[in-house]
Amino acid sequence: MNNIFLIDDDEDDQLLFTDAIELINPALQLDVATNGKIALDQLKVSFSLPDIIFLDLNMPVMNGFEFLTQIKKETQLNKIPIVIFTTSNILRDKELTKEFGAQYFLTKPNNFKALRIELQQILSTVFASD
Amino acid sequence: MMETQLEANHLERIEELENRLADAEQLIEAIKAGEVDAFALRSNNKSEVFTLQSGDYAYRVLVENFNEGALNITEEGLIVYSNKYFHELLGLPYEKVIGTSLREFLHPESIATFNFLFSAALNGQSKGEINLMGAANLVPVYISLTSLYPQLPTIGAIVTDLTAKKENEEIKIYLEEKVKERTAELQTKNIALENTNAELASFSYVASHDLKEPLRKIQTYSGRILELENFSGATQDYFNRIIKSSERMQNLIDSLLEFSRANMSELIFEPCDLNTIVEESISDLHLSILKKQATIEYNDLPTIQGGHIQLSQLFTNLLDNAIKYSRTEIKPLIKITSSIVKGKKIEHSSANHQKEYHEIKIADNGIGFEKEYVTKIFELFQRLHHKNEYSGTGIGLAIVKKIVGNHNGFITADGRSDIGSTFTIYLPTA
Repeated sequence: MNNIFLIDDDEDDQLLFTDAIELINPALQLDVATNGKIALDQLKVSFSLPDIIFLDLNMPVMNGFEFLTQIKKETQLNKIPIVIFTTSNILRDKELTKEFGAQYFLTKPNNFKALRIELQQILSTVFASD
Repeated sequence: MMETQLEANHLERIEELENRLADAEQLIEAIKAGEVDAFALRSNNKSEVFTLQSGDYAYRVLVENFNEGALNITEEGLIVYSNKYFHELLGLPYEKVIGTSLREFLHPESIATFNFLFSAALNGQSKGEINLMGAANLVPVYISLTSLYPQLPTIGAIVTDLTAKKENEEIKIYLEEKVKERTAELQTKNIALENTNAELASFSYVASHDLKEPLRKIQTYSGRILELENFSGATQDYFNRIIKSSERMQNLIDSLLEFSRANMSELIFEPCDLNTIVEESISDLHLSILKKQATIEYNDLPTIQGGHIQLSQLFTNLLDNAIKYSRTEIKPLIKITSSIVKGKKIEHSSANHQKEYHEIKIADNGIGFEKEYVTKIFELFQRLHHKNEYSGTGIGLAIVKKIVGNHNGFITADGRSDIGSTFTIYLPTA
């Protein structure tokens, strides 16, 4: 059983993401937080840690970059693979998030099918290496 | 023998005296005619000058016809002599000027200055600017006063008309003020323009990002619905049309975003090998090149100072254009060539005659365009074709022009319908 944690403030993206995960494998467990602060607070007290985190960059209260900086300091949490999930396709952002410790970078596609396929690929890569 | 010698000496002496007599007669005639004012005689190795009473006549003629006003004024200020120029300057007849006090012709504001100049002149000389009241108008003059004492109990005055000079000065001051005003106006406008530009740049950046979000959702949800349900052919077609329209808008926004990004502030100049840049563009356009079976020929392109990303976009846009607007019956062939030309050889208003330019030509065998569109094609949102015929946003060439401008160059286009188009980029070599 694999746990997925999505940190994104956009309701539409939450809905579509949930939908896509459901289509990929209904058995996958998905939790959602609407900003980095809420996510971090939840993760610190959680008994079952997620196997992968999908992180939006542009969020209120605590954005993706701050979240990356914070989670690096948490020894229980800093091994969880992180996928940046954002509308940005700017190269600079890609390089920067890598420096901050993110493993993958997924630009939110404008095509549902593409979203499903790309999610599937990332998940199978990450879970295969478990 | 002795007598003959004596006789010869006498004859010589007579001849010399006759010559001197002729000279003297000539001088007397000249004096009578008033041609001579003074003459010098040499005696005992010393020159003695003799002035003639009749010489005054010549001086009178001189002073009377002087191109300056000349006056003789008594110590009380009465004008006892005025030349033609002066009374004409005032626009008054001679009789009105002679015997009148010069003070009567003074502008009230000049009385103090004149009194000061006049009392100074009583003891020698003085000069200054005053205003005179003529019959019709005020006459600014420069007056130079000289005491003629002890020969005469009067003061001589030379009066120079300053009207033209004052007018010129006024015009100059007026023009200087105008220039200052205009400069200030332009500076204000410049600042306003800079602000507007900055606002526009950030506006289009933000707007593009925010506009894209809802669009992405429309596309994703439409795709989601299509994937979920089994619709009739018509419904599927409608959904596909929604997705297509959204895609089109997305492309427009992307291009606008690119256009707003293609500005100077993001430009870092570095040596860029155009061969590499063209290679990169070709790899970017790999799919459409394959689809249209296009050939792109280039060699020995120069290395220039420029922004790598912008130059890359420049060539990608131009090549994309050449591939997109190809003829259906013929495979696209695009040739990129380069040479160096002197600025003065280029017929373009932007060409600097002092500079040398890289002349880079991108020539294709596509559909070309009519002469009348030569400048229009570089304008934002200008499309020469219906969007069903050729996909395009009307921004690509506007970006191209902007990028070339950012690199201190300029671009020209030349095309012939159904023969092809040639875009020529001029970039300064230094």
